[in-house]
Amino acid sequence: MMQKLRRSPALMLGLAGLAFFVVLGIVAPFIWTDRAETLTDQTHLAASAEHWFGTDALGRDIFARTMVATRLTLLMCLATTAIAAVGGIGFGAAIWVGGPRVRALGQRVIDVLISYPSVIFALAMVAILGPGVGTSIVAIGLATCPAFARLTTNLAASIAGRDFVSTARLLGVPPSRLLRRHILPNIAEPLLVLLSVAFTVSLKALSGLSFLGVGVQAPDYDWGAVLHKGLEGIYLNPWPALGPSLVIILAGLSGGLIGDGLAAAVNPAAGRKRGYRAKVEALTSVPAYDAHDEDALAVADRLSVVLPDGTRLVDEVSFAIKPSEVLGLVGESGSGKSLTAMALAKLLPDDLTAVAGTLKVGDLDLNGRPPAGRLATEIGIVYQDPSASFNPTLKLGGQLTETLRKHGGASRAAAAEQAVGQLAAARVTLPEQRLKQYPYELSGGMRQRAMIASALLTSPKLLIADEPTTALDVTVQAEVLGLLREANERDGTAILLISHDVGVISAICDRVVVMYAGRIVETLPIERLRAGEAEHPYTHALLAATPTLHSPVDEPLSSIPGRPPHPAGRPAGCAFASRCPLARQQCHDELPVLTVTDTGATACHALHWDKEVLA
Amino acid sequence: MTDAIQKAGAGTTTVLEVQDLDVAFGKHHVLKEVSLTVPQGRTLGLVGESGSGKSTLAKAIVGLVKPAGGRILLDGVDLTHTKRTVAVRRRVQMIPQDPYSSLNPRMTIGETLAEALDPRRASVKAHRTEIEALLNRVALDGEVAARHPQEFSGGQRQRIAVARALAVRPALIIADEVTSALDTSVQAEVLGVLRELRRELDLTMLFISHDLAVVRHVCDEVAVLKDGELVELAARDALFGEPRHPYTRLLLDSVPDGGPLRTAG
Ligand SMILES: Nc1ncnc2c1ncn2[C@@H]1O[C@H](COP(=O)(O)OP(=O)(O)O)[C@@H](O)[C@H]1O
Ligand code: SF4
Ligand SMILES: [Mg+2]
Repeated sequence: MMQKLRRSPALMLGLAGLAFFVVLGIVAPFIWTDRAETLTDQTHLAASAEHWFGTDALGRDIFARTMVATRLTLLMCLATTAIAAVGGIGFGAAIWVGGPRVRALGQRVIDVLISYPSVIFALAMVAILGPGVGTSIVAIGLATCPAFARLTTNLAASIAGRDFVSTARLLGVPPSRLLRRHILPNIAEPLLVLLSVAFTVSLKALSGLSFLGVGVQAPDYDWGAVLHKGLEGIYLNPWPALGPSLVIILAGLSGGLIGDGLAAAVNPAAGRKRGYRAKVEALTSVPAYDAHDEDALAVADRLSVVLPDGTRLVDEVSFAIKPSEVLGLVGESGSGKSLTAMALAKLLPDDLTAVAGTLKVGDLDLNGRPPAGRLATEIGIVYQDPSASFNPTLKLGGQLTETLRKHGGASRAAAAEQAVGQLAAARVTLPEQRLKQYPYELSGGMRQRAMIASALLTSPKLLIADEPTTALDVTVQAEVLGLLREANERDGTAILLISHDVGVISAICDRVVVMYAGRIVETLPIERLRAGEAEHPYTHALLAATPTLHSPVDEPLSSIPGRPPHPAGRPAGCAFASRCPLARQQCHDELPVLTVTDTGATACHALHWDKEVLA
Repeated sequence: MTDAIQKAGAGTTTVLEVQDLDVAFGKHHVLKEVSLTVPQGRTLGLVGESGSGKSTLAKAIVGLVKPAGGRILLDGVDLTHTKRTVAVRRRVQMIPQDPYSSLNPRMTIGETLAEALDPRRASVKAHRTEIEALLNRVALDGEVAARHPQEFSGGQRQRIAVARALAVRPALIIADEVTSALDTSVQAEVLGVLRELRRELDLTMLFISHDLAVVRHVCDEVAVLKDGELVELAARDALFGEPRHPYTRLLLDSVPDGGPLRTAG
């Protein structure tokens, strides 16, 4: 587990601080005990070169006392944290294993316990047991237990929902092993974070008790006790109080930094990517296929999407969308379909850069800085997950009409009227009432229709639909695809339809672009795809791997051995070469470029070999 | 309606029998008088849209959901109201849908399989040869036993999940949407492995999927669920060739099957 933790500066600083205090705790009593405990008549001295923090009422050196107190303080914190962790995790785990009824009761108990401040609880214990080192440790330790118990049950519950836990149950894995092997290892990291937080909290609580005079009792002393004594003469002489406070703060800070550092290290999303600008390589010299189509509505010429480290997630794709055309973009997950589309809508995440010879939709030059209003109205977008594209906390009405009001200059009433019209056209039932509803009140299919209505509301020139039916049932999918085709035929809206499913693409597109590993490998008219007459070996393989309602079922589907290369490891030659049955040495050495064929374009060397090879 | 099944499975023993199964969550009736049988060595496909009750049926069969009525028999033994022993539970194994949550990321593949072979001690050493044989069964190399799930693709993980289910030698395997999270080419790979295993090991399987084209490639018989009711149950060729229920026809017509859109929007 630890090898996965990334070392952040905070974590390193915190660990260094902790190491310092541990060493101090070990050596200090050997060096300073004499000075710390010998009574002298030099009482209540101010800080000086000889007594850094001054002396106390009995003439003892306060700096020395603070140093010597480190050992007891740290040991008490350690014991307290151990009690809290062992007790809390044990209790949490026990009620989790105990079954639903025990769990409900246990959680209620934890809730009650957690709502009492731990210091109050500790004071009550002191009143019963009498003050002392042991009482403080037990009191603060027990008071911190509920926090661990709650985190343990909550995390266990989230892990228990995972399939591997239910499968283990079916296999007959006993509860103790389930906990030990399946639950605890998967929640260890957040518990570790809590452990370091608990250490800091117990330092403060223990110091607090001693400071109040109900913790460690003379002749023992911890930092809190030294502080308690130092406070007696604070108006005359602040150092006896300031010195130990400073040490407590520094130790607390170290613990806090460790906690923050661990939390950041455990969270894989945090602190990644330093973000230096992409070194953008020069474009290849030939403007590619389709790019000089004068009538095209949208053009992407040698479009790349680049990571800050220079990795091309999308590698020089070129295509054009004709007015009123439904263009399909097909490929398996990770092939770069979404990034290509997002580049065309100027919606790439901040850490990605689009580079292109030409990138335009209509007369909007996306290589420059197009006005936001025109972007929002001329390009409509429909995503896979309609719940992610609507704000769940706002009613649909405001969200549907926002672009119209903001960028289209429409009044509220006019915008609402148009919205109702579009909803009705998208066959959303009860369109007027929907405006007053929240997104969650609609079924998935209805929400996706509303999304389409919303995207069409501004009469965009281009509608980008990224896997718009992937989350839907097959009958609803057919209806939504029908809606898209209808919008295209009614208003002449051009559509870029993205899908991993050849069947979906075949259903409504005019032409299709096939992507593989961030590159376009083929574009072909839909009739050829429907007939299974692709030129590129990857397109062939994809079609052969797709089950249908009419293909023979007596032989297995042919699968494509291996996986696509990662963008960072994309070979210089053909990206499909390692999986291609036709591959020759040339394929590994040379990048095949899109070559215009009778009906489309294909990037494959085999095209130029003996024609029989492909037959 | 069951005559198709009886014809298809003539002469074989019945592994799973579900009789008039009712399941309700509060007032919400999720399964209504569902009856079906799966004979030894056959695969029954269960299709239907989301919310039709497919997964609830699977959960009732493995004992995670209590039926309100009806009976579930495994190898002729009524399991409906008995508390299931570990031995009984191990007779039915499930292959979960999500390859990214079906394997414990903190355990090696070998440990996962050892646990399936022996859930109490789970010693990898003691089961080394069996683990290797299991991995070979799903076309993986024996040396992958030492690695963790994170190092594998979705398809490979799903094959490991299949191997885990096989380890138990269950009477019945329930595959719940096992390929729906996978890419087309990876799906073909997993379907290929299942097909091979069915032939070699005479597996009995309930194959749940919303994808009719996939079901057609895997199953001997197909049951169609709609809103908790079984609307059609027939041998594969009959169901895809001459669907009798209008809902089955609607489902089939909705499948984007490589041609232009058929149903109106
Ligand atoms: N924000 C991002 N940062 C880094 N890599 C990304 C980001 N978004 C996508 N990728 C990577 O870029 C590649 C293409 O992704 P994507 O366009 O989403 O593919 P598709 O839509 O075809 O599934 C993948 O390898 C993916 O992991
Ligand atoms: S270029 Fe070579 S390796 Fe690539 S698809 Fe064509 S034949 Fe296969
Ligand atoms: Mg995508």
